[in-house]
Amino acid sequence: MSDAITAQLDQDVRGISPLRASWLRFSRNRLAVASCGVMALICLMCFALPLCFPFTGNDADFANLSAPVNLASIHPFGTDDLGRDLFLRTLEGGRMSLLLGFFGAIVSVVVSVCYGAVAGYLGGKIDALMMRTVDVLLSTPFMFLVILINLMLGRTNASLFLAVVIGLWLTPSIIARSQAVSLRNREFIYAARAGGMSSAQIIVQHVIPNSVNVVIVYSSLLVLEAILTESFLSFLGLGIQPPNASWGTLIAEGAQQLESDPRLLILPGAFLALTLLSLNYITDGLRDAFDPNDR
Amino acid sequence: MQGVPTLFALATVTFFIMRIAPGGPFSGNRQLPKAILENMKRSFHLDEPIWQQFARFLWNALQFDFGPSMMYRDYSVARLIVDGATVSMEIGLAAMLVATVVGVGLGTAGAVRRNTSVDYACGFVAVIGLAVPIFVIGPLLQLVVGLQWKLLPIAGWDGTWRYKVLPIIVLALPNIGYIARLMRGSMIEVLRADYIRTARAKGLGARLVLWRHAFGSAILPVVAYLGPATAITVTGSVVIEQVFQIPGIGRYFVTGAINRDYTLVMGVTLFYGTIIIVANALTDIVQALLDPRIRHE
Amino acid sequence: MTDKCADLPVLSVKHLSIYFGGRGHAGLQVVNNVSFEVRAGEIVGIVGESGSGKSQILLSIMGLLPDGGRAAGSVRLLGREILGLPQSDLDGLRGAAMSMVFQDPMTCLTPHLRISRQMTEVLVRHRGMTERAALSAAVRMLELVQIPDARHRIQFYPHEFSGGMRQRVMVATSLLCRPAVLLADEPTTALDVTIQAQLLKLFADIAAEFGTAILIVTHDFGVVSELCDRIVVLYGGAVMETGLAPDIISDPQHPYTRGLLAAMPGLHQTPGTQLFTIPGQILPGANRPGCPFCQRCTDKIPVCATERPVLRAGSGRHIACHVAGRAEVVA
Repeated sequence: MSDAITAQLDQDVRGISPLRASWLRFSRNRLAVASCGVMALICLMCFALPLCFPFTGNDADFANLSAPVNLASIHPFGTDDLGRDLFLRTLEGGRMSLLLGFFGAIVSVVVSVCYGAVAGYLGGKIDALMMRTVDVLLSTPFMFLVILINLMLGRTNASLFLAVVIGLWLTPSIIARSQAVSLRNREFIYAARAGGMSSAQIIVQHVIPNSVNVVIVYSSLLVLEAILTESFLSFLGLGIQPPNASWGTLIAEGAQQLESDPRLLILPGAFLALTLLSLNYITDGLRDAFDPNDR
Repeated sequence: MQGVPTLFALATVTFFIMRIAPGGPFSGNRQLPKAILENMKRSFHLDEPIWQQFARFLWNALQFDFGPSMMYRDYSVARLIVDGATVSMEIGLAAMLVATVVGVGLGTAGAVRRNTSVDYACGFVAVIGLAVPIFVIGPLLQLVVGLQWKLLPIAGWDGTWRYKVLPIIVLALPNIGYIARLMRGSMIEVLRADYIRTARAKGLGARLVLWRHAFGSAILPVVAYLGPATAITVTGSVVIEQVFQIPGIGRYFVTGAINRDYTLVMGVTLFYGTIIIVANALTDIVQALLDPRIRHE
Repeated sequence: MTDKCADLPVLSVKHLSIYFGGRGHAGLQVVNNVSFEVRAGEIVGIVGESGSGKSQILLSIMGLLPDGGRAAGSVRLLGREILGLPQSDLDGLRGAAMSMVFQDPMTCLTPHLRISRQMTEVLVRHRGMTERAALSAAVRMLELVQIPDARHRIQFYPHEFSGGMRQRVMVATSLLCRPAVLLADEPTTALDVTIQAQLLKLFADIAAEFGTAILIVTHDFGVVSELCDRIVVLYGGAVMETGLAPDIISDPQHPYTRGLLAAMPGLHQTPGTQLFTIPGQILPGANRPGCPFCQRCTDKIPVCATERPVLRAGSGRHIACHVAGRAEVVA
């Protein structure tokens, strides 16, 4: 029975702070820990390994056009018809995807927490207006927003980044707002107000720091969604523009040349899938660890 | 009926953002003489004051008339929408149907045989569907089923089932993943409920307890998900259309927007808005049918 | 029921122990070696604090222990051993020969099914009745438990009933097949006091009219004193004292029973005086050495901490205490 198991668990974690108890639960989730390892490995490969090659992913090796897979050679997974190293191109594309993913997630967290904190703390009409805006944006087709941004800013990497953030910040902002609403009536906020702090000071010093922890559990999900959104838009040609490449653009190229060389699709596709899979398990692990009642 | 103001707001915002955005529908045709350009603008009423254009658009839109497309000049926007939407909705709705049946099945199996190999297998299928994007799965299936096994055509469209199978499967996969998870979680929750214990105490047998007493409550979150998800699947059809070269509405929308095809974008936007509103309304109705507590209110 | 049957216990529980988690006897033991019998038309009350394992006893009789729970010992229903029967065999008995009413009527009815369906399915399943015949039988049963306008209300959904009404529906459903035993787990705890009294009377009527053996679990001595013929006082998963209800209530001998009765607010209570409380709280696990009540007992002697008292006969009851029996001898 669950009571018995809870009692057992309580004995194990007695005298440990809730945060440490959560980390303990997370570290017992083997799938999540392994996924963290895979993620670390992928990041290491994408950021460090390209430095070990004497050439870049855009350099053509005319001596080795369409080289086959040969793990012992300088081109371990071969080259494309222009003599570019496939493995290196995938790693460099991954660098772009991961950077965009992490920064997109960080910016989304910051934006959503600030927005939610302001709306939730101030309340009233401002809150209603701000959250109604979120509702409207949530019910608009995402492609439509992306295209509007593209129309306004042109097809640049900046508009891609903006599109990623716009797609991501909405849901966490709702979570941050409800946290801010619950904080509004807490004693330490009353104390701060009685001490003469302005609303802006209270939001910056009390509400935002206390809202971040609620959203941070969702951060790995945001990284996942940012990477997915980026690659999805790049696949459609609305994202990363040449000469830069990301997993999305590489997959789009690979899908075009499916018949002549499936490696072009499989290599970046496998990296992207593995990344998303790991992030997915990490997200699950975090949610189970921090929110055990959710399951 | 609450949808009407939403649609109006959507139309207004889109209309003016399209006009504010740099570039115009004919800026690609730089080689055209000025006189011809002026002539074309006049034929689309682009020389009128913007408020007049907006009023004209609203009036015509009420009659499902968006004028001719600026890019595909031989076609009316209404015609393009009807043709494209038929294809996109067929694929999208079929995919959602497949996803619901398979996802609910996997989720239920996982919940009933929790922490067994059945559960893990269902969970793995769900995770694959969730984590591997359709623009990776799609080309991979084209490669294996189309090129290696030569079972189905890899891309294209002639309206026959052979061209529909792969897109439907690919589009269903992420939804299978999500629905399976949702169903598993909700079924586990429901199976712990007191009324399930009551039903077991009545000696009804495992099958009757599951399908009569647990299923009706466990399916509710899935129903709530289905409406918005169907809208997203239909309005986000551009990826699947790109991968499989399907003449759906999504590609018209994207290329139209990129080429500033004002009339086409306005038409498709309103169509998408309608789909979302209808899907949400249908969800509310079905939820009320399934849950007497909602119906009561 | 013939007289011969009336002599035989309808439900006989012998040496019942319940464990959670672990294997064999390794897990947490919540019930230790509990035995009692219920005869036709008799109402037996199991009394104890929450955590004493009393609900688990009922669930193990029904074969409905939650995952990870195991029962050992013997449970005989009408002479047939039913502990450890496969679920498919138990399904033939549950709802028919034995049925159960749960504590919280607000959560124990399926929200998306009409009351009619939730009642008729029992008759369709166990008696092979048609939906139509089952419906009229169900309406009659609702009338019997005094639901006004039953013919109309049977088509309601659970949320359209009040808590007391729902509990009546639960009782009516459990009686549909005229079970030999009715198990009730805190059936009145979640209800208003006036509704409680009506429901208790209903249980008394059922036992008298149908000859149903009723086993009722409660933490409320008030319920027991009003309703029960015999009492089993449970503490820490073990029987402390058992006997006829009037005997035990008028003359409680076990220190725990005395504590429970003293902690009950009564009419004799002088306003303004504090209610008696038993110090400490119940500890999980029924397999420690010594008396389970030892830590909280005010009368304990050294042997209480080391040796588990066995249940033995004494002045019209059975009692498990090192002190209660001896004190009489000394005095």
